[in-house]
Amino acid sequence: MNAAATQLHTPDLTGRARLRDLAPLLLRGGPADRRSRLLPVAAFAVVTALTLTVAGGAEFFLRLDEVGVDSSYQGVYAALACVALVVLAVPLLALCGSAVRLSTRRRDTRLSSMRLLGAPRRLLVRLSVLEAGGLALAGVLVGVVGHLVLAPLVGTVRFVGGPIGTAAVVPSLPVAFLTIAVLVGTAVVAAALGLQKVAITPLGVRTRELPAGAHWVRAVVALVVIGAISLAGRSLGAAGSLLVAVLVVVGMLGAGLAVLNVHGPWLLRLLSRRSVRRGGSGPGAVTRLLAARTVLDDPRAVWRQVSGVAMVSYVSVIVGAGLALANLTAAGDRSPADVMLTDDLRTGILLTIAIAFATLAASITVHAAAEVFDRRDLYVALDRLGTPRAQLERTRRQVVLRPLFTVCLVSAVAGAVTVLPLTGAALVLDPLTLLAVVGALGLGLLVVRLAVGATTPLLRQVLESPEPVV
Amino acid sequence: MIERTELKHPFSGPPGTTERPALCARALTKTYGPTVALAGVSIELWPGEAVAVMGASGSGKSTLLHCLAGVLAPDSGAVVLHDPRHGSLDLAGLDAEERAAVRLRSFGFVFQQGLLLPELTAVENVVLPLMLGGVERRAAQARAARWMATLGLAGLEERRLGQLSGGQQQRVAIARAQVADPVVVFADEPTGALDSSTSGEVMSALLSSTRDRGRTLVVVTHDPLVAETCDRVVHLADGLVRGDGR
Repeated sequence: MNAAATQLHTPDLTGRARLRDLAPLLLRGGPADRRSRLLPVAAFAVVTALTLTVAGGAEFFLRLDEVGVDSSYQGVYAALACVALVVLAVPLLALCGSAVRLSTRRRDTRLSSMRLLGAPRRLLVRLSVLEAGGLALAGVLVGVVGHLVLAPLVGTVRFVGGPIGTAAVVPSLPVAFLTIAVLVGTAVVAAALGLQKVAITPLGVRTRELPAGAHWVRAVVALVVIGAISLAGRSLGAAGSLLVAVLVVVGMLGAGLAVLNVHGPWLLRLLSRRSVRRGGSGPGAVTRLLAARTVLDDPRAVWRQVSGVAMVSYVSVIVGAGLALANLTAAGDRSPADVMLTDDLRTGILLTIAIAFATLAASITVHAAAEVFDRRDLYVALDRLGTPRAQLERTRRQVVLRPLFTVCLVSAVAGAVTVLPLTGAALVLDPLTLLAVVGALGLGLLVVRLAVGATTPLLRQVLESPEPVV
Repeated sequence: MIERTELKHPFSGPPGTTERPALCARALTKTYGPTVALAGVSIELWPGEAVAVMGASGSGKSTLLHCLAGVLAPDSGAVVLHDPRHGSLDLAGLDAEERAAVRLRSFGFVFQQGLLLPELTAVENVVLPLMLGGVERRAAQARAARWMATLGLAGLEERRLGQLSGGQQQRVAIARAQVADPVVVFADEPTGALDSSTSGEVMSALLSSTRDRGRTLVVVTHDPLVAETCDRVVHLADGLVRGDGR
């Protein structure tokens, strides 16, 4: 052995690690990293553009006195804007959460290795925050530009008797800055909080020992919350004022969507376990087994892919009932202001569902791309085993599509339970409501299929130049 | 600040003494739910000694290695490290942050899959422990390059890991484990993914850079050929030491 190195003096390792030296090294990443970093930036850009548009629109409905709307209708418009805001908040928050997770997902392996080497927690937190915050900020800046480009188009939408105009879509500076601060702040806080498991159990993360579990207790909590929502709906008549009624409705919708988001992974695990237990033979059974095992490996990750469609299914019941209500109202003898309100209700519902679908399409596409990178080892191993590419594609689709139908059905039923006390059974079972549910499900399935298909070139790229497993 | 925390313990002796084990474990226990991984393991590891830890899967080998290395805290028992530069201390009594600081200044790691970062070049992987300890990058890189040359990796400094063979990757891992001049190097199946010829080269590099320099090497392995190259073989079964011989 060469004596040169062995004669080196022992280095003094009692100094403080320098972030300015380590950050360029560790945040630079490899070529694959640089490609996959586009995903969180894209996700943050989409969520920023949509959130700013929604915030601008909501502000417009809270300032209706400036456009001369009768004061007796201003409260109704404001209430409807709040309802739309809540309906859109959950998919937007889910997309924001996805963007955060995407910005930190390749981080854990790197940081847990460093933790094993003895890196202090403080340094890991700083590196994480720097990485997540930087990606979020880049995405937010692109999103602001996207919002400004989108604003003239959204400004052509007609409300209160005419096009609302570009200025109405762009939020005021304080609201815009608040939105940006919340988005970047969420990324930074989530990055720091998510680091806990890396810092405490470096081996658990490094060797993927931590199970991403979901507990049956969640189902019980879900039933209790849905029951409470239903009871709240029945007691709505006793609300003393419009404000209280609006708050109750907003709370009901928010709670329903939150319950779905929290309990989805448990439902997926349940469905996939049944799938694993099923027998069968041939390529179909292999695809089913692989798809189910992929879901069981991380039900939360798969839920993030299907949650958007589940949310839209939930919302579609409310949308359908809303449209049916608008039609019902349109049939009576009405004042010009009533006619305008009904038209605006219909426009608002369609706009809300369009934004929800835009969020959904962005979320699913970004997740489908991220999933190719995350499951790189699995796909490379299956490819090396000789699995036909077509079967790999089928497996990728099945991971998402198999649980989707049941998840959407459960979401639609939950939506019906929420809206039933408000509108009555007639509106829930109205053909328009059912059409909205079926339409949302069909569109959702189409979006999922297209998103998985759109990321096929990425899979091909990964299989042709797999990164070394080091 | 963690790196400068003074770690006090009743076992502490004056720095510079060497007539005691580099690492001494007493009655270590560790359970995972109903599974007993370690049921009261005691072991002494001396400077200049290479110790192979063998046993069937689930015998507690890796858990023992992780407890000795301060990666895991045992449920009970003591792990006393004697580092001539820093005195003695019981790892079992330290919190996660303090154990991380000890790993950085006193231990090195070579695992089956290296724990190397594929995003970095070979030399950047090697400099990490030095930079984590506050060494300036240029100085760290110079030291890392010398260790790489010693291990036959001269000219490969700027290669990414994907451009290196399995044996070269493990030598990068050895260089990283050695660069901070640790008292004990822990190796978990370091040759598990290599052919027998490369495996021999890697073990030779590992032994010459540790035992032959008066450092302690602990190797967890299934391979009797690897165990043969060590001075001592400790056999574990059901979380207990069932054999300890030279």
